[in-house]
Amino acid sequence: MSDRAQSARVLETLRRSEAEREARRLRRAFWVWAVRALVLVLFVGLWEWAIRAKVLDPFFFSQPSAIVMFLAEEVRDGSIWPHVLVTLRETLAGFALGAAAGIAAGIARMQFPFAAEVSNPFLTILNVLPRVALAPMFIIWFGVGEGSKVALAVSLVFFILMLNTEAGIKSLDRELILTMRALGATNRQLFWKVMLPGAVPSIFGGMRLGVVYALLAVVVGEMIAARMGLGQRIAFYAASFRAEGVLGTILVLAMIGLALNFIVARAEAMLLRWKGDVT
Amino acid sequence: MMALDHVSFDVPKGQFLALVGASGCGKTTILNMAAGLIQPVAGSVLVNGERLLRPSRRTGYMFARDGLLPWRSARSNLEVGLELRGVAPDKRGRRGTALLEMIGLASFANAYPWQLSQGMRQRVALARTLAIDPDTLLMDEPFAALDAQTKLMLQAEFLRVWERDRKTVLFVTHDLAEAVALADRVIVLTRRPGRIQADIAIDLPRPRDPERIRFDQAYLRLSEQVWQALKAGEAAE
Repeated sequence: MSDRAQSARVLETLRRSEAEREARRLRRAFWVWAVRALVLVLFVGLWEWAIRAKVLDPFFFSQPSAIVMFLAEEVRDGSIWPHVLVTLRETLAGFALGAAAGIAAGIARMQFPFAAEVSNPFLTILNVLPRVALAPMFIIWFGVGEGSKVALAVSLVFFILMLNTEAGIKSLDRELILTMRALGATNRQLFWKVMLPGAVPSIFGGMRLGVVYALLAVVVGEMIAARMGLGQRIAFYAASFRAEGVLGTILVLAMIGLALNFIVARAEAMLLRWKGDVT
Repeated sequence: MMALDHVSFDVPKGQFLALVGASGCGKTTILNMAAGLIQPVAGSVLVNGERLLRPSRRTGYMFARDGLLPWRSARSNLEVGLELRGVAPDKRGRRGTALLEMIGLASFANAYPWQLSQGMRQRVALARTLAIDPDTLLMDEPFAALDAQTKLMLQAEFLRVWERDRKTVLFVTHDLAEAVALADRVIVLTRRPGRIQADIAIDLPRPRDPERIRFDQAYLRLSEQVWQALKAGEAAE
């Protein structure tokens, strides 16, 4: 057999095994999704059946069909959107402010070790404090409107981002710093060109966590006292013993949480392309 | 702990000096002092007659590990030394392109370090060191982490570049063959605390081919001499 024919045959075999692997991957993905769907359907079906068979009391547990009807009605008459908007706005504002301040504080504390050492005990106390317990005070200080929710979110997000920024800067490979110093980097250049970019993965880890905590803080704040927002809706439906309203609103919050998480993950994947293994 | 004791030598401009000795004999300490990264407890380092007190921007330092920034492409890593010196982007780009071609990685300009092999990464590290056009090159076992084949290739490549520019080189290695094949002069250090055991001139003709020279009679004689000195240095104290 000629060389050309032989290499063509090898290429063909390689191509086929590649196609084979791709097909196997797709089959597997299909089954994973199929089983997930099955689990969901079973869970929802069992729940609905339990209510109809009077195993569970709908007063406490509601039922999937009632929740769907509730959401359909809320969407149809448009009454849910202003609340979604308020919650989203508070969450994003709290997240953005908290993240920006947290990253800046982390950087500053790494740049100025003296200030970092002085601030350590104070920041530790603030951080171990259950911030949610401060919610009533925030409402007194910042009012019953959106400000108090944003402040509560900031108080959570700030520490997450500050600590993650610091951890990222500290965990940097010493080899890189040594090499760059030998290449003539000044301290300032070392910071901006090595330490900070090196901390980006860790900062994004903090952002993923932070966005979820921002939503948590906002909802808790709204449940305590607010005019608008999904948390306020939950408190309202709970007070009027409408389980389908509480659960339906929680479902909407879950969607918002997923969407926010997805956006951060996409941004992360884009910024960390150099890693090659981010999915 | 004392790393070095009574070590004193001059390196004439344009000389390729290799420092060999057992591990832990203070070879790297000498380079770090020559780089200005650390200061000797007693004594001094003079460059062009001036005492070296902090890292000089005219010195290139290369290590066994590439130290490439993982978030920068090959090109961007290669140009980082120029960037640190505030060289304009277009000028930087031209120099980067020329060097990428020189090391045969032009088509990998946009590849990230994890996409490159060990040998390719070390070639980028070498080009990064050369990019700043240093007067002096300090090299700390720059090819130690490579497999034998890649090592020979990079040695030849480096020698070709060096024989063109003749920069002053301080080259630390524990590989005798490498030291004799590349350098003009080999200093053999004793065990810790390091002292100079022997100072041997390698008067082999240039240009040299590190692959071929291994079978040269004069090369073998010099290798034997360096090896004996190293043995004597290990035995000392």
